[in-house]
Amino acid sequence: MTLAVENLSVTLATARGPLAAVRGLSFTLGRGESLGIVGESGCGKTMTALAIMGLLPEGAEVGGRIVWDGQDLLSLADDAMGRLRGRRLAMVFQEPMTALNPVQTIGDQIAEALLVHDLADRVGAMREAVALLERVGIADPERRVRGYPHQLSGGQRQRAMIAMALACKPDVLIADEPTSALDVTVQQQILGLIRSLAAERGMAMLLISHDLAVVAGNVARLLVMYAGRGVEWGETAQMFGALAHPYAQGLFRSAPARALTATTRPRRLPTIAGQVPDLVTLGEGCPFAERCDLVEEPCRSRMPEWQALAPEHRVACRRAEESLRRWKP
Amino acid sequence: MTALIATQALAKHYGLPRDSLWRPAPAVRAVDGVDLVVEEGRNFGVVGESGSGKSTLARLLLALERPTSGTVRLLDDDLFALSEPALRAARRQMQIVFQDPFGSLDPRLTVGRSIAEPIAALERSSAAEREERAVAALTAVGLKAEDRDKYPHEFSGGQRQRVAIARAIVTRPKLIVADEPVSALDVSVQAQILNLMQDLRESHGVTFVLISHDLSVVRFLCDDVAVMQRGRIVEVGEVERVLHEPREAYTRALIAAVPKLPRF
Repeated sequence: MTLAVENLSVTLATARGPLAAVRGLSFTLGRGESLGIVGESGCGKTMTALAIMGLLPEGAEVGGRIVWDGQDLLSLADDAMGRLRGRRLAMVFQEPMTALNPVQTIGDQIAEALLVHDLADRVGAMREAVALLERVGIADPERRVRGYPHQLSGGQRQRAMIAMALACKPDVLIADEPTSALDVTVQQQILGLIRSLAAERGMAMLLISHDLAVVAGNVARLLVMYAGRGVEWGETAQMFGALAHPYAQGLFRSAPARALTATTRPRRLPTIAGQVPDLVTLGEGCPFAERCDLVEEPCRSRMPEWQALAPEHRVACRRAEESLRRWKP
Repeated sequence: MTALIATQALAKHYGLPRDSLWRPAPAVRAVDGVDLVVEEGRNFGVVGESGSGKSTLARLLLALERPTSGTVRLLDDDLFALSEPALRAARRQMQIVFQDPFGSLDPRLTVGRSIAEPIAALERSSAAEREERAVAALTAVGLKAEDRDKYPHEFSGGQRQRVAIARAIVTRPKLIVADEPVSALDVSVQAQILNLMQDLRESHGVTFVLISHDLSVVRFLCDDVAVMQRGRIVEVGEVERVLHEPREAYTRALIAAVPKLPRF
């Protein structure tokens, strides 16, 4: 079962006019595959996840198709989407404290998913909740299942969220910045847990993050987004070896994480000149054109076509060849 | 080298609610016997996980809280032995930058007024002088003079953190404590803010105490680093030494946990 996002667009209504949060985005995610979407605030990565889950904010206009299991999710009726959400498509959010209900026990919240989708009776659901908590690495699950979110640490809460997302054995798991609110030492444990659970259950995984370093080691393929557009896609190792889009290169170079592995301590970190464009007034051209040092006139007026650099590596840039020539990872 | 700020046997315990009538109330030892010396001109990093006591330590260094025991000396002053007016004078020498640039600026004040506020609070000055210094601070952090009339919501996250830094340098402090100053920002914006802090150290002679869970940020900006765990400093030394030859198992675990970008 493949999840295919085809020419997706999401437009939000704002006081200043329509804001194009996602434009012409396409990708596929097959059974058991993993894809990381990387980009900075406002690049449209979260809106893409919400569009797949059918959770876009009120007033959002959505175009294109999201095909899964032979049906277009965007044209499904609310109740049909409701039967898929949580059951076949599940999501883990960034901030576990706001995503969990503070006045319900952890066990009730995990069991709820099973009860709503008629997958178990009350007793069976609670037994399953204990098993899930144990699987996600929470010590003393029989006691924790009766506890409340505030009694757990941040990492444990995120584990509980994952248990909840896994309850109905979904086919697709979307994790949106699942570790941004956590300590470094816990981050790797949580990412490792998500990755091994996905492999063990043959789940497709979509991992969303602003941090290349977080995603890189945990997904087979990467999609870099900028200002609502996909700009580079590829197999992870292949792509890091030959990062071609000027924005993707800039994002990689500016990461402070590189300062840790550099042999000498850098005096300054490289930065990307300029600011992210205003998505309300942004035109039809390449969204990175204003900040790009390789820009040509046509870049400003028309979004570049995708071109293949390798069987598993594509980039949407007119100057990819020149850009690639200067890439030294 | 002169010691800019130094602590001795610094401790802060917070009382918890009693769980039994017959036992003394338990306490959290947030900071538990910390000795450290920050030398003038050498940025000092404090790393550790949440709950290790690093933010409490920051608040004690700035005399925002009274310690349970121990001392903090800023240059020649024992901060907690100073009279109220003397402490106020000492506060000119130190400022703070918080993690969240959204929560640390008053949404109803123009950024010009927010930036000028520390001058009004800590020094005698005329309105014209405050205005002039606020503008100077704004341009020093890479914003424009016209930006002083804008409100925080008109800025992006990175620009707001620039405003917070402008407010911190406006009293020309010797010491700025920055508590996770870039962890709420996008990666490419983090680089811009870190470069700015690097520049200010040279142009304004500021020494930073950088509280962070991110070792790469600490390596970039700091000369010395202390590793905290459960309220205590478990390892301290020059950044390069600590990163390349860590002596403590906990330090090694922290270094190993940092997600690495692949190298090809």
